[in-house]
Amino acid sequence: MDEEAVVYLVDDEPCLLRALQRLLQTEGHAVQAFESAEAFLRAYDPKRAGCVVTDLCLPGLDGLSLQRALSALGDTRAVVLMTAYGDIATGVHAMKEGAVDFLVKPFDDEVFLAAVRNALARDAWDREVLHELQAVRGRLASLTPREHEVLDHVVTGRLNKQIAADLGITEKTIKVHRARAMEKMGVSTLAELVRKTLEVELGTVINGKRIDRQRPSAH
Amino acid sequence: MALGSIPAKARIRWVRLRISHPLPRPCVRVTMPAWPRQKAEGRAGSRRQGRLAAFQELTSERRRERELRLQREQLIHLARVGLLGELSAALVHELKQPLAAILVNAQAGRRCWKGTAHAQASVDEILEDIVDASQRAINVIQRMRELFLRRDAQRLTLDLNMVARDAVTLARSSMAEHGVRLELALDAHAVPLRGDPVQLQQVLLNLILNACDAMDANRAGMRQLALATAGGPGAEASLTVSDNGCGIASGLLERIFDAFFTTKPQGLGVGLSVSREIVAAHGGRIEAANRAEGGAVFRITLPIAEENSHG
Repeated sequence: MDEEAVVYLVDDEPCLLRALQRLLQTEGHAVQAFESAEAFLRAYDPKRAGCVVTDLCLPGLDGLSLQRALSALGDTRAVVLMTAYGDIATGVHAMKEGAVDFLVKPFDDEVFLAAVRNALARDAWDREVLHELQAVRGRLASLTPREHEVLDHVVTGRLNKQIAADLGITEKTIKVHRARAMEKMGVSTLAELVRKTLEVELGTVINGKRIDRQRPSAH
Repeated sequence: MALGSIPAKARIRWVRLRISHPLPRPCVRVTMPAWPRQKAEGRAGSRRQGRLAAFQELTSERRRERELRLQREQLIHLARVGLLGELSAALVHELKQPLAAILVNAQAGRRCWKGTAHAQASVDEILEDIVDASQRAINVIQRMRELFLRRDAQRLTLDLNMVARDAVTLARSSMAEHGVRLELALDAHAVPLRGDPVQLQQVLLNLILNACDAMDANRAGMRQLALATAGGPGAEASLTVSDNGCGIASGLLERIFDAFFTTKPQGLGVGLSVSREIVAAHGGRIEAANRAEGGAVFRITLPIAEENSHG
């Protein structure tokens, strides 16, 4: 993940492929270019951050199939589809299948570069979320069964006294479990603890400090 | 028919004939038997009797032939224009590709020039690609123009491999649109023929587009078109187009080359009949068959041009 994000470019038209690669390089992007979806799937690095920009109409696997193949592999990286046949139905279909953008050739360089920037931002965000969720899940897994049990009660708003009664142990012991669980979860307030457990349940990050920052979406 | 007796030893410069159809070019056949009675009657006799000549006016006959030929060429041309209609969407795409490449290259070049680029691309390479793409766009237009143009059938020495390549270039986008994979197996040597390159291209385009249609019902990724040329055996060149599509219903195999016979909802039924016409005019033949493994195969056999046959 320390590696620079890469734009994987797929187009069966070699001349256009080179041109798009140059255009992306003028923006300082790292680019890897492929003439077919199959060649891309063979060679790409699933761990490397970045996005895919692919032509819709390719010999062999087409752009939509490429997108499906990626999600079948559990890869959620952003896919931008390009096509020379710009019909609305295909565009809608592509977006429903999860493409972040659908560009009709020929397009303006600014539009193209903005779509790639957007896709890269989306991928970076998704990776950050995944990273944070994994950290929270790791912390949760380090709890003992008893600590877990206490935590479950704590986040539903029960008081120590009530939890002690529920579980049939002393309030003092509850306090010890609770303190350890909070420490293991890396939180100091009840609010933070609630947020982290919620995050795992929702499968996304709720970050109080960046509440305004939404997941980048297609414009 | 006019018969005239020409005195022996007379020097004939002009013969005046009345011709019923003087246009476009009068045509007369003159038949003169070689001194028919010379041997029987000796030299003196022949000098006396003279020689018999037959003048046959052929203008109207030639004109009828010419009209038929023109009609046939007109039909071939019309079929070709129809073919272009089928190809037009794909040809527009074929033009869009190099234009898109030119545009994107120019945009990348502009960013470098204006200094807004983070990294400099090689301007040399950009310009080289722009030149190439422009040339390609011009070539597409040139080929379209050739298909649209109407002119008399040509008899040129050509290479069957080149005809195949040109047809494939024109049909490339159509094949992509149909999701068809092409397997091209051209004879390693040039296959010389005498004929009209545009008409032969027309035949091939027809077969390719038919094959694409026939494979539409196949699963994506399972549409295989094979095109092969061979200079031989013997003095015959062959060109085969095979697909793995739905094949030809057994009862129809006899009728597919008939004029106005079609299985396509939008078809006119002239493609294959005109193809057979063209191939026959080139001294060849065209046959269709179903493949054992599924799909159809069309095989065209043409005489190899002798002057520079390959070996």
